[in-house]
Amino acid sequence: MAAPLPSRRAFLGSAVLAGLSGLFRPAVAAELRKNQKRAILIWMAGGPSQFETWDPKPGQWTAGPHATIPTAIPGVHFDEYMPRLARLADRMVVVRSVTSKSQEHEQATVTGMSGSPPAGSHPSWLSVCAHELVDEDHWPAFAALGRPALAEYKLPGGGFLGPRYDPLPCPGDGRPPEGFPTAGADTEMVRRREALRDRLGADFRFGHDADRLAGHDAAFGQVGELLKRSSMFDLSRVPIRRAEPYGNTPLGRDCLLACQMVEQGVPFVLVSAPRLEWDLHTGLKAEQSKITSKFDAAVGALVNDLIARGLWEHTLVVLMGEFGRSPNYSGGRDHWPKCWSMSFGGAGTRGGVVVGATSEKGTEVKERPVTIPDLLVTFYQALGVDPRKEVDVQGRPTPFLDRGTGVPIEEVL
Amino acid sequence: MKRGIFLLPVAALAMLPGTVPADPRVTQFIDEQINARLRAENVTPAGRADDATLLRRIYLDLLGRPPSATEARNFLDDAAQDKVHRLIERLRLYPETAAHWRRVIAAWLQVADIQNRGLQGNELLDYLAQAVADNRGWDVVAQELLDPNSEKSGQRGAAAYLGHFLRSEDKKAGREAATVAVASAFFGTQIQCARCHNHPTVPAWTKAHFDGLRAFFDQTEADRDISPRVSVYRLRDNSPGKDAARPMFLDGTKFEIGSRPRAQLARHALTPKAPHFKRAVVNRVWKQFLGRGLVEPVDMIHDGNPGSHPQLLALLADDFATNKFNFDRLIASIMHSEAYLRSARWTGPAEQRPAPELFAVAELRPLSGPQMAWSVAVSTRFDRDIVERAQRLGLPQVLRGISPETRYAWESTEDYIKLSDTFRAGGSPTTARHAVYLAFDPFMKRLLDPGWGLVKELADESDDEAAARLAYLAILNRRPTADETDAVREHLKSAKDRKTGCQDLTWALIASAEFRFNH
Repeated sequence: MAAPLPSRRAFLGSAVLAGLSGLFRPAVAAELRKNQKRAILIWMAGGPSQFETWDPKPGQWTAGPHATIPTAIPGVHFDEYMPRLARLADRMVVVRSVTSKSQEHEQATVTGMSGSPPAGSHPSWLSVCAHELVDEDHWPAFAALGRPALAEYKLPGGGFLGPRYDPLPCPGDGRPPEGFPTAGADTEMVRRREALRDRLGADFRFGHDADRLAGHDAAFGQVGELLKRSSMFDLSRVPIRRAEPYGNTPLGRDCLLACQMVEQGVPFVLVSAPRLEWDLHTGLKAEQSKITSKFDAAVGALVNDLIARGLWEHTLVVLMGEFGRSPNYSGGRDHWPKCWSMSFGGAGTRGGVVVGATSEKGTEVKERPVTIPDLLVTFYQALGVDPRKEVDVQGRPTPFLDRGTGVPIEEVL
Repeated sequence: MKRGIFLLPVAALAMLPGTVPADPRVTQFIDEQINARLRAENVTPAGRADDATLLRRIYLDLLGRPPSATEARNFLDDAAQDKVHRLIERLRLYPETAAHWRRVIAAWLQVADIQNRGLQGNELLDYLAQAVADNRGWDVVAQELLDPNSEKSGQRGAAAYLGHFLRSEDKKAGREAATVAVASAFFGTQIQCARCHNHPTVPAWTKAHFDGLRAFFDQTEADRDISPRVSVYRLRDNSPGKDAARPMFLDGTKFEIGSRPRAQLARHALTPKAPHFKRAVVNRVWKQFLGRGLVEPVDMIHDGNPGSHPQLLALLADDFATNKFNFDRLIASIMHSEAYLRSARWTGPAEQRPAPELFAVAELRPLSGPQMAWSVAVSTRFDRDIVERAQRLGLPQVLRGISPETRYAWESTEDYIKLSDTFRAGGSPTTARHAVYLAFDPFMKRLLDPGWGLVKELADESDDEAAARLAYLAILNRRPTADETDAVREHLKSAKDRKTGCQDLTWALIASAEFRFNH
């Protein structure tokens, strides 16, 4: 026979006592392990021109209006507006032979971040890393700063891993999640409301599915954890000497925030360039130098900052957009998925390597074509995620990337 | 606000055709079948939920929003014995059911995210709303989605369904995605595994089945006409190429390669005799109301996975099919059953909580994104603001509830989209991101502004007990217990001022698990 039931009142009493510890209980998993792998993806929204970044073709008919400069890798030149990345070239990998299919912004962005076209529910590779590499009770493990494109674009998040692995959205320009207090002024209010929420929730706990309710309360507990670390959002406290190199730009502030976040407990961060700014069908001559310079300052400062803070060995930094730009320069360039460039470094990857090459004029891949799944598998290996692992999705073993796709770039691992 | 909402044939939405009465024999059969298994397993089910709980549950399930404080008070004060059943009958007639069900159905169709795609998505939602408002048979709806006649005004938006998938630049991927969605939504078959190889656990689902089903869509191209006023997909079929695959339905029936393969599919697979379609729809509807399907996962219906109550599924499917696939009749039959009306509280020892597939205790169902958005709006009285704005815009009003046009108007705002997206469809349990939204989002702060709405009404109420009653009625649609009234009183006394105390109270109830779940 079943044991006699506890009275409803006794049950409620104990539930209240157990529940009250929810929000401000001692931090359990707030700090990341020192050797925790981290990653920052800088999304060059709109699609950067390879000719005006990592794969210039001076003297060819495909060349644009810019000159080139030498880099830390002998014989390798970048665009003239990337002096910092040129100096850091011996720490980074440049891939000059990326080839993909999609030439529409939204579809290409989804594919570039998840490895699969939009119709499926594939997670972002950063969500996969958050799922694989971070303790389950640590939150947030993934944040997205800025909006890569138009508001209605649907970007990959947790996908089939579930909304737990969606990124924490921040509006961009170095700002915290909307309405989130940076200075801790609202802590008293949150604590007061949470105590009331907890007390008024007592009656509902009686007899209802305890797991579901525990999950609900735990979510509010995690907000308490984030509040304790809210100082990471406060860029005004960053010394000017450290902040200045990032540049006085929205991207610069987001890169600085990303550095703060990977250092202070959010290991995976997506930073998006604002409003498809790399999408220069026209006006390249006037605009490109400014966009590239801002990017070079922000990203160069980020890499240097990560090195200075001892995080470079643990942090993968990836610089890419959704596709490249067409060889035909006519005051601007159109979308071009056939052959394009990107760059990454850190997290123990080998620096100073140029992977693949385009033809003399840059119209096609000459050697070692690299696909999006190849890149994602390489990121996974660098970070210690098993790229072939399959997770259970409603009873169905489901791989992170479509089976049979993706070969890692071994020479940089 | 988007222009699309003005294009709806308003007159048709304002007057619902008469609903079909529930069939008590079907309801009775549901309870016989569920109870027979409970007896066999020696489980005593939970009793019927209390009236206030059922009030909220029925509103959320039929209209996708909770009752307003006034609606709740009227119901709770009604002394009639059969008021729960009468409520079900009454709410089924509310025009706004169409506004709720178009999104529920969009989620079944695996296009839940379509809401944020501007015009090109809304035309499908408009179509679904119209189909619900007309009480069209589900065979008709499925036929129109698979093989729409874009020349007919009532079907125009239907082409956006396949168009949503086929618009992919990668044609092969687009057709595969359409195949996967159609197999799941219409035929209860999760066929994506069979895309490259035979299904690992279901011998009946082979690569040939996937290819055969895909072949119905192989010739289809989606074109989109965009003009400033309207965006319309048109589907057309190319003539088959030399190496065209032969269409084959999941039951193994093969079709000649020829013209209009999608029409062939609709003619063959949507009949009352065809088993896949009727079972798949009934199973989804059951899950919508009971929190889990008679077969789980809902798109793994096959001989090796007969589900928890195979006879019940078979009977409901046949009844549905022989009654012209009438959605309304099916819904009513389920909603009047004891099984649907049970409490979600298990008062026995926790370790003896019955397995969910017995339907002995109601499930806690997380509100979908749209349900959450409307619940937040209605409970803070922001819905009045929405209705007033709609009146100024000249949108039609209705006698009962909120007019569908008014709902569409708010649903195309940034505030709604962000809120609904944060708590997006798919029944996800609470995440920390949800909590961050509720705690800090600027829209939440606006709703808690003491200058208007519920918080102002509470602050203006000098009697603490009356304030507690109003807050509970408006937000949780019930009366507070004595303990709760004490807790509210203590909090209001200790708060630095009344406005702050009332803001805290409103927030604490909206952020409660009781609010987050349909229970």
